[in-house]
Amino acid sequence: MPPLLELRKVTKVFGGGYFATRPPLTALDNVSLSIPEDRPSITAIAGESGSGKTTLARIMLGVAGPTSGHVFYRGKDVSRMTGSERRRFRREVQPIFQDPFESYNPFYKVDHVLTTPARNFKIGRNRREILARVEEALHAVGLQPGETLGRFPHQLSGGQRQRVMVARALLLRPRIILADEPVSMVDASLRATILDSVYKLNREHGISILYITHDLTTAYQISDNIVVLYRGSVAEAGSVEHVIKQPKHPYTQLLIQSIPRPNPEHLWGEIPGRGDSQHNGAEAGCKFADRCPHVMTICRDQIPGLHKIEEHRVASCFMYRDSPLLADDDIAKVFAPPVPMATPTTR
Amino acid sequence: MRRNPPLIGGLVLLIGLLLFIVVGQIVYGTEGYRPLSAPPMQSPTYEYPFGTDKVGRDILAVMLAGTPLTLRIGLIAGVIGLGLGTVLAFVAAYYGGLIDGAIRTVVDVGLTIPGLLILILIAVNVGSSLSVDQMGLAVAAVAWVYPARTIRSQVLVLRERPYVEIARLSGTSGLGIIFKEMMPNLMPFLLANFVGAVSSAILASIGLEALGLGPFDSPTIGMTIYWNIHSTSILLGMWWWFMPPIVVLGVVFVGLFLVASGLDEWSNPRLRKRT
Amino acid sequence: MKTALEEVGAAAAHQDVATLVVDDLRVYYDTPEGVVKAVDGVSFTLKQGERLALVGESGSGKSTLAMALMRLTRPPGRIASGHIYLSGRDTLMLNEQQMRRVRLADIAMVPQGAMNSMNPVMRVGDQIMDGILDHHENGNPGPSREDLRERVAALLGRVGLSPEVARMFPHELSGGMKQRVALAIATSLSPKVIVADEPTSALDVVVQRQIMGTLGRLQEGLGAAVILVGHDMGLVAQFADLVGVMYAGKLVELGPVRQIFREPLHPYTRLLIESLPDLEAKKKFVGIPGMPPTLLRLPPGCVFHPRCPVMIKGTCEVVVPEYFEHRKGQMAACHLYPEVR
Repeated sequence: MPPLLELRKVTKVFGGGYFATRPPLTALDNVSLSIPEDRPSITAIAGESGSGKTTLARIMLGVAGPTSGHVFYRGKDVSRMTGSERRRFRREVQPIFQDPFESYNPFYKVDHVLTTPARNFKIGRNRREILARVEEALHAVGLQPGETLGRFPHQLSGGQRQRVMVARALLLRPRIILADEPVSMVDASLRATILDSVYKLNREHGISILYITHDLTTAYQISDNIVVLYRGSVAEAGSVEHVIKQPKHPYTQLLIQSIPRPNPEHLWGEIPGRGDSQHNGAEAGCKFADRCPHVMTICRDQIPGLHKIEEHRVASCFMYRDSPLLADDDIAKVFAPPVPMATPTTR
Repeated sequence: MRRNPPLIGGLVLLIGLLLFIVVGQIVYGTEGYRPLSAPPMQSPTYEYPFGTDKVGRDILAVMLAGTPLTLRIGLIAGVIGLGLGTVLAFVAAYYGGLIDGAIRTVVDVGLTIPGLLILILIAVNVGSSLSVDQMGLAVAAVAWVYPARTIRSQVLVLRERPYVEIARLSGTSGLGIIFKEMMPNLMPFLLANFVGAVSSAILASIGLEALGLGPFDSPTIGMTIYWNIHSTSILLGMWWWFMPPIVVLGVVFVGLFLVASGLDEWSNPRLRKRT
Repeated sequence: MKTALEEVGAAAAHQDVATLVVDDLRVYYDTPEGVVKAVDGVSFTLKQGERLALVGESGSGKSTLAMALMRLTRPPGRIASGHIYLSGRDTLMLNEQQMRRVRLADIAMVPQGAMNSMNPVMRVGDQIMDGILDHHENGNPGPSREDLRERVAALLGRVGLSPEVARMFPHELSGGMKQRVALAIATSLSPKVIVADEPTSALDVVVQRQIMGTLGRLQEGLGAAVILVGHDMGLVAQFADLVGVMYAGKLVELGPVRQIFREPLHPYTRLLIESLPDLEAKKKFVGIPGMPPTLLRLPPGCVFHPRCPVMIKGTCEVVVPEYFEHRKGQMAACHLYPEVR
């Protein structure tokens, strides 16, 4: 069975060309990733600004195209799909965006964001059916249709608006949901409910989730597997328990150590390695070399491949060059299966 | 929205003027607008409240007959100009690429050429003097350029809004996005632009008429001004002849400006988030 | 062996001087729909060199409070009542001219989004000089260009930037560098209190840590007090000595950071801490039910009672809880704790 969504050696370069005034920026550099069809799980794509995670999300959504490389949905190249195949792709891959206010057209009530796709994709045969499905989706995320429908976006809280977005995603019964920083603009006390509904989308409805974020803590809490990006390349990937609890790539280690723990007893130590990177993409070798505390000569000359350190982890670092290279760069091979919901998360 | 003094003020002025015209036409009648309808050079009397001009026109009748004509020119030019400008702006901004490049070039070049110059060329080339409706069309040909530019900028901004992206990902077609997602949010801006377009159209038409290129037989405000200049009414002290068109113009422009100002205030995102 | 002068100096340095005392501050907004009580009776004391974190979610009033401390409240907001004693002087009693001299020299602010609010057409060094020059207008000849350049270089060095940065424009700097410049501007006249409103919210986590380190070193070097306004409890735990929790315009709890995290008094604080995800282990997603109240119509009694899991019927929805010290150094406003004096 072909994977649900597959990126093969995808590179995305911005700028450059004949009339360019600035050097071209490589947002994604030869990244391969696949989402399997049979085991819907939650995968985090983590990285800071400039990592390429937003570009990756846009390419997966089909909103942007790769400069080189291919994107396959259910075995079909997205750039060569027929009209009806495209429509199917459109429906089955849905986003949840970061900004809970800008995602709504201020002219319409919040119903609009639910009924528009419902009508376009013919979720029901008539208005009554559509309404029933909409209400069902709202209930599933813990919202009351009576308190939500008929209201304007500014009359709901940020948390509620975001939950409506989750309901919208659920409504279309997609196969994949790309959640791009869904809680970063939401108050801390309201985040848990949203994350919970996203989690249930996967565990109860079998939808694969791609959780794109810079916040490793929530990524750890919600995901099964994680891909850490650094300046357009995969630094480390694997099961979230491995990568977060025992990071192997120096960049991941730096990230984890820099997270401020909400525990006054466990204070920040000194930072290994340097802070801002001064390079702009033209250098050879490993992209992290100028900041790496373990840098070796080989790091500046060659780009490390993905070494499979354990069953559920790869890292692109020469420290682990004794481990075998991952065949086909298919990161999905090191993903751990999702742990089923042991206890129900509702009260 | 009730708390929009400019909008209310402007509407009051404009509606007041319209009422004056409507009631006046019914009560007073407009036949006196033609020359030789009354004894010439009369200062205001009970019979002729606004007096008469050098060739015997009843000036009150002139204002009652002529103001609607001038407003009509403004409306024709405003509607057609804005309509054309809006369509081109949306097409350029939404589809981008070569279409955008072509439209933008025409617009940018058009903006550098003085509109009045083009109007004069058109008027001179038509031969016999322009009718009121022809004037409206002529001004429209020039009036679409500036709205096309400003509306295009606004559409470019709107195009990047997340909710437009979501609508696209929800399966809405290009035209659907233009009409259902973007247009409603631009309504106040479009209205403000419309009012501005009407205002400039009236001004442009008056400019043409004052130069003597307007419809000679019509008592439009601009023609009245032309006759004033032609007969040196200021030197003759005939204040009842040059004051009414100036006052009416003042009311029209201030009214339109206030309405545009009020609409501008409304279209500003003051209804922003309040988390 | 210390000389007598050194002994006196040492004693003065260790004196617990209350640098900032806020007394029952109220900041209200007059809107067409009614009066919004953004800050409703907040009091706290800040000693020299102390780090206070003011945490709260949107609508808690923390940013309004920060602006009020600088007396930068703009209409329709107004400081309705209260006192702000800076080194013993009530800044609310000063006229605008006097307050302008106090700003930057005695109390300085790094506002939210400071790094994006710099003048894009002015070099960084000039922007730092601006504040310094502005405070020299009282007839003194002022420092020479050379002096100024040296001062700017020193200020940049203090925040970890090289002197060449002075000649650069804001858009040539990274986010972290821009924020450092903002810190340099804020500390250019060695203020006694630094108010930092979400200083790292737009920064990546590694840069964030460096900036917080820089802020800490700056503060220690100046002997200044810092008020960190934010919502990231992780940052709070790592940086602050004191934590003040704000909810719907009121200060519901205040205390030393360790005590707050270990044994929070107020239910809101407790729920907030419990809802924090951490990297120790996966756990259930726990949030706080309900919504923060609209500040136009605050609930009667305790503002938190509609969402409180341990609300006492008959008391919490009727009586506003008193705010006082329930435990050594820890203040809270909650009916759970009977009056313990």
